[in-house]
Amino acid sequence: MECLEKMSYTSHFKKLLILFISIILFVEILIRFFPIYYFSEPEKFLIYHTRKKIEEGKNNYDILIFGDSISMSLDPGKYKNVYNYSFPGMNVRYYPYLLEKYLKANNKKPKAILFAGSFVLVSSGKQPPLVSRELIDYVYPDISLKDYLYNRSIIRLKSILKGEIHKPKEIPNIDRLLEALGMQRFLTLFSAWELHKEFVGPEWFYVMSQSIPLLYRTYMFRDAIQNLLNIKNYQFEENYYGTSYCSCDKLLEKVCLPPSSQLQDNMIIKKFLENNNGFYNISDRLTPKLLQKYELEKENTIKRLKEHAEIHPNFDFSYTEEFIKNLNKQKILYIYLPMPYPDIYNNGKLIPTFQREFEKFLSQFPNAKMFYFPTMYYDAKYYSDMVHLNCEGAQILNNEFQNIVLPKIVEYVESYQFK
Amino acid sequence: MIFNSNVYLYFFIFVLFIYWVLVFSNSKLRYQNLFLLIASYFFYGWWDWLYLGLIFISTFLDFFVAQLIDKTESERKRKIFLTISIIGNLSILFTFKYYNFFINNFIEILNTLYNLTRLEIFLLDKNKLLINVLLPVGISFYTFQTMSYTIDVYRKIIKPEKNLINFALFVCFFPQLVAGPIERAQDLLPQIRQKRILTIEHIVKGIWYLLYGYYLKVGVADHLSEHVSKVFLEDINIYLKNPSLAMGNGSGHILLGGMAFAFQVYCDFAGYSNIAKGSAKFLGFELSENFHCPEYSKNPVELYNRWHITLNRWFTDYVYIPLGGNRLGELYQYRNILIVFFISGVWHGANWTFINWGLMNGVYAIFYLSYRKHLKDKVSNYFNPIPSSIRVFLSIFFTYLLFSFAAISFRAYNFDHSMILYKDIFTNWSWYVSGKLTPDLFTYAINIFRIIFPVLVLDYFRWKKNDAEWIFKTPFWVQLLVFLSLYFVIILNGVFGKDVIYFAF
Repeated sequence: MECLEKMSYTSHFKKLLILFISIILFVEILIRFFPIYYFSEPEKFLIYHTRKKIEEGKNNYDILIFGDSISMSLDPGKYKNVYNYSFPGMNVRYYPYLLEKYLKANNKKPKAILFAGSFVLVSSGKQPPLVSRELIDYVYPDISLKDYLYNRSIIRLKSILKGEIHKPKEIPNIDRLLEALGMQRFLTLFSAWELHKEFVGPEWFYVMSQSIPLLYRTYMFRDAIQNLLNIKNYQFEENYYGTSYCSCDKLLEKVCLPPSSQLQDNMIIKKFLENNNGFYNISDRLTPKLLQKYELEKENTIKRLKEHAEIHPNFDFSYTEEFIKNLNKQKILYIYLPMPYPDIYNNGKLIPTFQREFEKFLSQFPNAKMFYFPTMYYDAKYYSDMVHLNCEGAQILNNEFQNIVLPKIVEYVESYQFK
Repeated sequence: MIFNSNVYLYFFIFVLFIYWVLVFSNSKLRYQNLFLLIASYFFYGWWDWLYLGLIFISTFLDFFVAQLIDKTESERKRKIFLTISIIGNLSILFTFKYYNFFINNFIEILNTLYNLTRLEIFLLDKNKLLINVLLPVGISFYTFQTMSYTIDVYRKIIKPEKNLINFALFVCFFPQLVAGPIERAQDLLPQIRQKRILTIEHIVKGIWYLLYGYYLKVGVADHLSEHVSKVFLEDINIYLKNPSLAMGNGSGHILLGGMAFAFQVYCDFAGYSNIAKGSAKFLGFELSENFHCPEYSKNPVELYNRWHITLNRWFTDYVYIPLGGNRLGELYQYRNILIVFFISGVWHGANWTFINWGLMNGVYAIFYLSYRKHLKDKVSNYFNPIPSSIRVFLSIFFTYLLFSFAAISFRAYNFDHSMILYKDIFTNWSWYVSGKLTPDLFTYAINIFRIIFPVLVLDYFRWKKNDAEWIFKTPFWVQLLVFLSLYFVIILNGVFGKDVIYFAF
């Protein structure tokens, strides 16, 4: 009798465990067959949507624009063989991986990469290394496991014996947040398998440890699943974003602001990206509240940027060099197009020094060239947060881009012959 | 590594795989223990391998001292050996945890003397005296655990462990190494010595503890912290840069923030203890219960029996009872209670805020015991007309409110910060907080209640049934539903990677 009770007790636990695991697996399978990313937060949607677009392997563009959130404002307009693959700030290393992913997916090899990201992205080497914060003092990009272990053991022991006590660097919260966001974007764009091949040593361990959980799609799209279960996301509102109605002066009208339904918002983003070859001016999404916040912070931001404009960092173009050489091997041109800066930078040393040094650096490579906008400094009123162009700013920019800069670039690319 | 990080997940899966292979292939127990010991050292060394040295010192010290105590019959020698162990352990704790606190206070006194006398003898260079050292994670937990072992050997409650690997594993068994429960040798050592039995029941119960633990930690505590920070500020640097930011909170907001914080600490720490218990279950070990629905306590004394149970049991056995407990009369009992709570405050951190917190709780306990002895019978007639359910509710509410009031000191960054908050409780009676991002009182309360409500429901059943594994006594579909709900809340809504509050202790 006791034995029977014991057996039923055990079978009860078995049944519970089997059902529990089965339902979890069932949900995972459902999510894999359902385009759940349409319910994601807009930024994640934008990146994942582009990932899907690349993985489809049907792209045949001649010029790919690479960059960051600032260069997302570049609209190729009538040049349908140009596509803007800029994403909000990520680690600098994503560009070569993005190109590799693009080519491996059997998309047509582009003739040129038009790089329009911030100067930091081309002048900071491979920094920062991709590891968790606690390890940052012991590593540098591409460090081998052996060197890392040496730093963490022998060097650390020596410093202790000398009486130096190690205290990790304090990282401001905002930097931590940006880093975390950058990492998330990175992991949304590339699969664990793709990243596995790109890193070594402690960076490999870190990237893999972050990437593997995303293989579990229920976890990767946790935000989307929550949105899926929220009735609000099925209630579509009247929205004209992307139509001629939503001109710059009407962007703060309710019908031009992002709708409260995540699904509708993402569908609008998708349509807009498709119609405009990847162009999306992120300042156009700013709510009145956020704009007001930026307005209040404006004075401090200007002060900070003025100080920034005077510094002269040590430029490290080594990683860009690696990238350009790699492009050369594949017979792809590298074109650098600095985006216009707020006029606060106009009298500072930073930008002219960078441009001079970078142009000199690029002149070493036959497949690299720098182009400029006719207006290098825009009035501060054309920026929403002193970094990103607002709607009017983007219009002026794209007027110059489509009518002056891009025709020159296209002509150059078309006429260039690799030896 | 912390339990709520993916690194722990990989570590645990790897350890479990090897360990189960060892267990199910009937390998020798000493190999199983050796493997668990290596895994535990790896787990601890992940933060900073150099701090493993402290664990080694503590392990060797108590292992050999306990043997020496056992070998000699001379009471004097036994006392000397015990003293060596206690001084050794407390020296480690003092150097790494309290040295700077005492030096800072010492220098404050000297500064005051200098200001009064202008004698240069009182001028000391602070920087030369302070040591630049990080607090090793979990140091208060494992030093207390090893000390209890040696004291028990001295008291002849247990025989010393002869096997160094077994003893080392007792000191640093990874599920409970950094945040408890503080295990007693007579509970954990026999489990290390005996053959492990692993069944489907262990696994399912382990999953239950893991689910509940992770839910409390990443699904409740780490969400509550966001609301708590609205009153107490996000980190100490924000406060130190501009202490005026701490001012201007309404009394209701501070009290609610305190209640939310007390609940956050409970969920944070109880969550961690449950994860430890669940992880240990997978390895065939049974760890002690550390929290038992403290939010349902009807008086302060009951609350201390439900809150951080293993630490309070430690203080009762090794401090309160040796001081005389309640055997020497009422006043001595109150003195002993105050001493215990003072030490408990110090244990929690080298800061006056923790000492105040400890003393406030000690005063609550004394008031309650005094009330129970002298007043309860006399006033109970006045309360009798009130239905018992309402009386129970009010007792629970006021006990929790008092505990939360003390928790404000626990959360404050320094003594001045706690005074700002306590002053505002009594002087700033406003519904809205002007110039801050905190919502009005009602919305603030709703936001907090929404997060804690499911825990109150789950804990209610546990409290009523007086059983941590109550879930297995409910119908099958309830079990499945609760398992799935907890799992999906963790995966879909959990905040991962945040540190555990009790790591600082």
